[in-house]
Amino acid sequence: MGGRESELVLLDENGIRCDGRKVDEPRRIMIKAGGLKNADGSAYIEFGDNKILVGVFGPRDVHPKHMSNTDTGILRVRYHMEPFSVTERKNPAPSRREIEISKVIKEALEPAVMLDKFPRTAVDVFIEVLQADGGTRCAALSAASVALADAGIPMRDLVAACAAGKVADTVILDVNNEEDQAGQADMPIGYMPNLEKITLLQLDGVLTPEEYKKCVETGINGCKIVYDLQKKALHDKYFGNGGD
Amino acid sequence: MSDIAIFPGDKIAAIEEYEAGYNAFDDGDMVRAATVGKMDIDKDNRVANIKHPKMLSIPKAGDIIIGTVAAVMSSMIAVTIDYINGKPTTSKVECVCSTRNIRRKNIALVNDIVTLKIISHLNGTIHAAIDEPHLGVLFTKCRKCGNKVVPMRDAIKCIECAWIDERKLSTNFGNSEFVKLRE
Repeated sequence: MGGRESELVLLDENGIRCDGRKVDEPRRIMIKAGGLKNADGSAYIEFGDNKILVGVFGPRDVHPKHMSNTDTGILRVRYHMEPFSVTERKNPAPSRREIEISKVIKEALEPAVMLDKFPRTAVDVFIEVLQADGGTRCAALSAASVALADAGIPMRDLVAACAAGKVADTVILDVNNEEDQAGQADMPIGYMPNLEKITLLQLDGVLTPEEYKKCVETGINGCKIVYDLQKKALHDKYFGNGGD
Repeated sequence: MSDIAIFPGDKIAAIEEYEAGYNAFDDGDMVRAATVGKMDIDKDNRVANIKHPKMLSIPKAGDIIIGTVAAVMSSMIAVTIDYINGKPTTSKVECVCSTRNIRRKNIALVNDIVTLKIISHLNGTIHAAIDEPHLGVLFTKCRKCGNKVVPMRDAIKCIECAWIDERKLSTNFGNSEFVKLRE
């Protein structure tokens, strides 16, 4: 059902995945708030082999002026993959996929940010993927949320994101690149843990209603793990020794 | 002020107890934090605030700003904000200042550097006032020859061409050099 034929054993008989993880185990995650001096807020995330840097500017004047909204501020997101982020050189011009992910991340962050206090202004989020290994949109969304909080933009909640998926008829947490390519389904989820609201839910693949429910539950559990690390990153910067 | 670290979305009080103040909001049931910071409860006024160490680049009511005049209209001037309470900002947001009640031919001209007091955020616009002695033009040049000017009560006089122009001058006029800002 779905996935491509592959020599790779995605899930062995002991329930161990191709990279040695258990089915409900995320990859190694490291988040750091701050780091960019010239940005109003910034964050760096390592999500497995994904390495992503995010810079936030604003609220600031909107150019061109006709894009501004007299009732509220606007959020602009640019997701960009570096030419060296993948094994074959990627053209640095924005691709269709990058434009789509920019839109998806913007729409996932919009329920969280409170820009109604800053009419006629814009908050710009620049996401640079330095190294990609599957699940960059979730990692980028998590880092963008930390960068917005670091910039002091009022938010209803942090948005934590993690993907769930289906491999060898088993629901798994945090799909990596191989599982994304050869697996049966991939479901990135963005979640506001305090408000218990989902801000992003996509599904690539086919799931039964039971699998769908389990996938959402698994994804939300992953988001809660990410959320704890987001809070730790902000705590380290503002209340610990991680200040820059 | 509590030393507990607060993160966006954390519950800080019930709406029956406190109102949401700075960097806080209510979701209809609880008062929640909107930024990272420390809780600052005002028990006298029953307001829950969050103190965030970073200042946003949007001025609040009561802030003193320094900016460059971007446009002069018949009854107001538009000013691009460069400093908020003495701290530089790169946001370049604009505020408007009514000049209707000041009986003077010129209050300020385009490219003058002025200091204003923010009075409100209304209809999506930041409103500022200029009618206090320390508010007004801080730096300008002769509109005829571009040379230095000296203050003469509520006017300025060019030291080269002796051109006299009206302005609403600040008491701090000429105390600072804003050549860099002008560039």
